[in-house]
Amino acid sequence: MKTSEPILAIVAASEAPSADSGKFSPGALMAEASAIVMNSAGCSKDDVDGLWSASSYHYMPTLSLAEQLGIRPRYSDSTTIGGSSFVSHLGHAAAAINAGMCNVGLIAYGSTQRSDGGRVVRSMSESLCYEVPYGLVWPITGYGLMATRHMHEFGTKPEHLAEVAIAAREWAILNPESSQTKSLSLDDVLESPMICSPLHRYDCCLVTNGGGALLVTTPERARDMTDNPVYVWSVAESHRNRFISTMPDYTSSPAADTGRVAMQRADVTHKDIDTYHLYDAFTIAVLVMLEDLGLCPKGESGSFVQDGKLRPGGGLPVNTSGGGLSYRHPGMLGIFLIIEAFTQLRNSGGPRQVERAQCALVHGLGGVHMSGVTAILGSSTWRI
Amino acid sequence: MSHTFSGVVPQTRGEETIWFDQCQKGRLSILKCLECESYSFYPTSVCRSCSSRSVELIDADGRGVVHTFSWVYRAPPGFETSVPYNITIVELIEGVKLMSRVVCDEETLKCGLEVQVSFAKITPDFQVPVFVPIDQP
Repeated sequence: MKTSEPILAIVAASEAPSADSGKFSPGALMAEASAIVMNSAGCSKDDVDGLWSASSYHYMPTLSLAEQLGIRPRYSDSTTIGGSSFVSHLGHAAAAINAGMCNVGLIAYGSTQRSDGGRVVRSMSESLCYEVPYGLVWPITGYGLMATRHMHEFGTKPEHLAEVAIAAREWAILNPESSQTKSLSLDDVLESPMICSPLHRYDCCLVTNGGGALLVTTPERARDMTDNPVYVWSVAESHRNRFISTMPDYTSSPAADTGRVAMQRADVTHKDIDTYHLYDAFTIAVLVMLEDLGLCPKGESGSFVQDGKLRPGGGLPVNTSGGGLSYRHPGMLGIFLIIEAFTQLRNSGGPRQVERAQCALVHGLGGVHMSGVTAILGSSTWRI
Repeated sequence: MSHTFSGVVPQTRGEETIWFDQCQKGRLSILKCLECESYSFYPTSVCRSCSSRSVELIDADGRGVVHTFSWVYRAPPGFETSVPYNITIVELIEGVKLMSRVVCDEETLKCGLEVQVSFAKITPDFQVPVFVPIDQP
């Protein structure tokens, strides 16, 4: 099914400014970002009747979010499919709002992973019993397994992985909010400590705090709240496995399906897309996404990125904030991909702004490319 | 030959406990569907191919090949003393994959390496499957 109209509007999007200060808990960080988007949209908490959240801190994330803000929702959805959850929430919000279940929704996240010493926090006692005895490092070892296999099948080299990290750093340098201000050389990456072979430290994302929120509603109502909404044209989601050893294969991802479906539904090709926001928890994750989204043939992502096309001015703007690799990665990245796409489509990217950015592709992953969600976003004037 | 490494004894329930009990007897089990005859891992109550509930645990042949692997250099708590160690995905000849460890050095471990199941004690009274390279003639 192709859509001739956007399915949802994002009225406001914001990070939590106090994330790095250490003065707020994950719940308070998502509340801080939520207050900013409600204020910016000129709506009160009593106008918000739908809530979406996912978290490894909170057993019942939307209950915590509602309580932080004093909201009593009519619609509540804590779907958790990993870091991609927030991209899936865009689709779920569109479905709920278009079905009349609620009118104005808040999608929010908060994490203090850096303050917690970098550990992946778990709110539940789930034991992946067939895998934990061996000492895997969740989720890094899983991406190491993907990278080893990708190298074996396609001849991908450590230098190819490194280029993804080098490009992300060049974007981060253009982002005044980023703590990363120095370029990375190839040697910097290849000589950084090995974490899980073949992944070096700089093949892995930063560990940061973070909070974020999105205020969403129907396109019609959005136009009463702002002159400059960002529209969601399509969302497609899927997942394949929960354990690592049950991956159907180690060189592809659900992006192959969700990318195709999301682009079909929005009736776009890569020629229409100006910026890409790809969940870059690890360099290999990005290479696999570039292939599965159809930007290059399967197995050729290494040589595809080698000419520097992912860097600023390189022709393929990917993760213009610096992404999870060089700007911010607080446990789950999904909402921050959407916030950066929003920033670009509102033409408010400052030094990192991509000229005439009108259409953005967001792809979130969960776990070790276990879940995948693709969304196509457009600016307020694109096709309208 | 006996193997040991420090590992984590998992919390298990139901069929998970049964599978690890088999391991204590030196048996590597996989799930077989009695309807469509497909194999799968890990075990559960239904066939993942045809949804039949007529499934049973069978002994795997025990031979397989290394599908992919990663050497862990920065270990999680409890594993620090054994770095580097490998996490390996083995594809059994029945066509199913599982996570394990191959007892060998870094030079030996390659995708496609032929391996045979063995067992390693991760505590004095709990063992898990590991694999050893099959000696080439």
